[in-house]
Amino acid sequence: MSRAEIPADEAQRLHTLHSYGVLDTPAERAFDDLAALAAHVCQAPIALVSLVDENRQWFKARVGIEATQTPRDIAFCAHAILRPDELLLVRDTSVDGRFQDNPMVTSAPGIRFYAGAPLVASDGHAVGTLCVTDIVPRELDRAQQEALEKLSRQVVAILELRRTTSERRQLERFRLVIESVPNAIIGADRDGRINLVNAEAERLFGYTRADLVGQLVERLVPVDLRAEHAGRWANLLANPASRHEAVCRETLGLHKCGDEVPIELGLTLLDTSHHTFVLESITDVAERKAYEFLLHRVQILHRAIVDNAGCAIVSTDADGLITSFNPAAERMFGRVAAEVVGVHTPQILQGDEGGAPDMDAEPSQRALGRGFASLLDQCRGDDARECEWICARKDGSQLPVLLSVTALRDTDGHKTGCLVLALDISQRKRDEEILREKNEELKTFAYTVSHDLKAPLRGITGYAQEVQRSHAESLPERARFCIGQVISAAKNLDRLIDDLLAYSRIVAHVPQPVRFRLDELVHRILDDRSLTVADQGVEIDIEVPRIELRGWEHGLHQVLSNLIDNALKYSRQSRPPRVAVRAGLTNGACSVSVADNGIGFDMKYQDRIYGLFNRLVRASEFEGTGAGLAIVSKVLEKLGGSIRAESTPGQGATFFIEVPEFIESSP
Amino acid sequence: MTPLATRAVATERLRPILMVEDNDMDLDLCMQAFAEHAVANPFLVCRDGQEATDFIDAHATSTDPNLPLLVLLDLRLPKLDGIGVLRHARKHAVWNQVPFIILTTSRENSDIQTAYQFGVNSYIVKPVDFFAFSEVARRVQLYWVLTNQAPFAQP
Repeated sequence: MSRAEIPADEAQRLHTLHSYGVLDTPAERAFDDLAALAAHVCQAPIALVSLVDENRQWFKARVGIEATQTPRDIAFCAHAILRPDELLLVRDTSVDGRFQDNPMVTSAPGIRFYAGAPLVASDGHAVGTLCVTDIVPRELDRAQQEALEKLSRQVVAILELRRTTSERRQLERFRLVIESVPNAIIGADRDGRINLVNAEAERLFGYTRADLVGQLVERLVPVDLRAEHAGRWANLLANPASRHEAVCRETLGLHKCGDEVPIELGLTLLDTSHHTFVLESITDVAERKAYEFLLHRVQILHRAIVDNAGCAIVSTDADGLITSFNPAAERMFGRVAAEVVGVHTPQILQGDEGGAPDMDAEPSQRALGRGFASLLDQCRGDDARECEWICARKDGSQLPVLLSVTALRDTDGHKTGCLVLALDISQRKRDEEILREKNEELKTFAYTVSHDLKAPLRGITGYAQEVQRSHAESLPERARFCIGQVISAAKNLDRLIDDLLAYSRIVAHVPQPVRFRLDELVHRILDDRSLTVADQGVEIDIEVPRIELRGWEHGLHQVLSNLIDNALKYSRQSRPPRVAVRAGLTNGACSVSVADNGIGFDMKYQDRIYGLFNRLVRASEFEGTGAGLAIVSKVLEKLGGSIRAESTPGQGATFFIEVPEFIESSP
Repeated sequence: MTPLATRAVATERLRPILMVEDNDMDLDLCMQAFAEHAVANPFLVCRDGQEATDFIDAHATSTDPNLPLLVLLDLRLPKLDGIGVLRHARKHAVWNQVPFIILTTSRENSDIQTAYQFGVNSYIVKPVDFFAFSEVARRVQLYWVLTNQAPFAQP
């Protein structure tokens, strides 16, 4: 047996065979029919459409045989395709040197006759045969040979038709893919003439397909980048494997309107059986560039803030190591960024905190007294934790700071570190100390006034009263009058001192807010004055609904007491005296009015009445020092409230006050 | 001017009233007021805080005839203030039981609270008016001298 030679055009032949895409596909009626016709025409029991692959022959259609393929070594057809233009006719295999010891001859199926017409593709390559065989030697007449050749051409025609249909379908699919990708795609031939444009490319460059097809691709490249672009093309065509180098992350395209658009460009060289062309894949990166620009601006702003901030800004990673240390931190702690970043945790900034807890410290600071590390650990929430802390400089000196610690998190919420802000509050601490001393001085002053000023006053009154009591008979009339004046003056001075103290106490007082009922407060004040009310026969009229307030109850008590006392005092000569108290809530504010039918005052003095020790009436008519309304106005100032009055001389006065419903003071 | 009462040692059977007061006139007026209400107990006077603590240390047994029936204590005193005297007295087993009455000009809440915190029995603000002062003396006598049962027997 002799093995068939490999044809000279084997590579191209196989390429053509594979281009049909027919190997290992199911049987098809058209090929089966042609094989059956061949068997019939040639009066042969076996007929095959055999395709000669690299190492085998595969049967697209077969009649009278079960096998679907055989090795190429023993294939009769491998011999037949060596002469594409001739029918191979073997009348008796047993006398032909090429086939006599072929296993298909010597054993089953025991082929004694073979006739094969090469299947010659349109490009001239023989891809297989249409063949008939028999198990007895025999002859094939001229007409039968011609019929077999004609039928072989029909097989090829069907193979080619099949391929064209499949190619069309693939092309259609290709177009759909090209149109649906988010990238702009431009295809061009080797000379750079555009032959493919997708919808995104139309959008990106502002042209229609009709505008671009047939044009040079450089039309879409800004003039000053054309040389570079041409170089990229030349490199790709010379070296098809250079595709990756042909990807350009940042370049510019030229829009129809003349604008340059930022793009990312990828070049691919495509080789099909028919032609070669270059595919340009273009991504519109305008949005990305805009984000990059924005990011850059934010980074610049961030840098400017961090570098110029007056407070120390220190960040850490998830392990607690310092990742940034700004110039203010360097100045504040006496360390340079290089010696702490990536080396230390913020623990290195912690000052002394040994010994017993400092009971003068803020409660928040005491609670965190276990250490700086626990402070950092505790910053779990998104809210910044803020507290006062003692930090240490490199030289060991202590520095009071206001610390704010915030957890840094990634988009999934995992903690990636901490941001620590520290504000140097040593100046504030000094100021607070000075203020505390001043307040202390003021308190001492008030104390001195109350004690040292009153002691001699008690002496004056005491001894004058002793004279009046025990020695009045021996004194002349004028002397007795003088003694009375001394006593009266001393008592006035006593009241003045009391009122001055009350006023200064109000000024220095830090209110603690409590919850209380306004209506109950008003009734309590009037109950305390029930003796006066009864003595003077005052008609009291209270219309105060149930109102709950939160704030400085004692302050409001002082205000209402003073106003009600004034109303009782200045109306006591009226017949009958009338005092009315009204209250209500409007828009989150509580308003109270106290009205009387007393002597009233001229509205031109309405601003004077709130001054300390300013009086509109003589002491001989109505006792008092002129501190009452000054205290009222000072308390209202602290409550965030206001006061105004309406009056007509001889017809009474009405004072209106307004305080916030919730008088919150600092927590 | 009426001669000021001076420090004396009690000789009568009645326990004395100890006044700790630095102001001459206050002291005189106070004695005057008690005298008007015929208080028979002898008066002992200390003129500053130091003198008061020395007195306390010197008369520290329940049988001491100078252990007072009650103490009238001013808050503002030279050397050691009234609260200091009070704290000193309250550390003594015997003086811890002696009634202390603060008699002062101060109406400050903080003073009142501190005084009670350290175990004062009563807190009275000195009135400027003598008649009011006299009334205070009468009430002190009525309650603390005549009504109240003292912790220690008469000497």
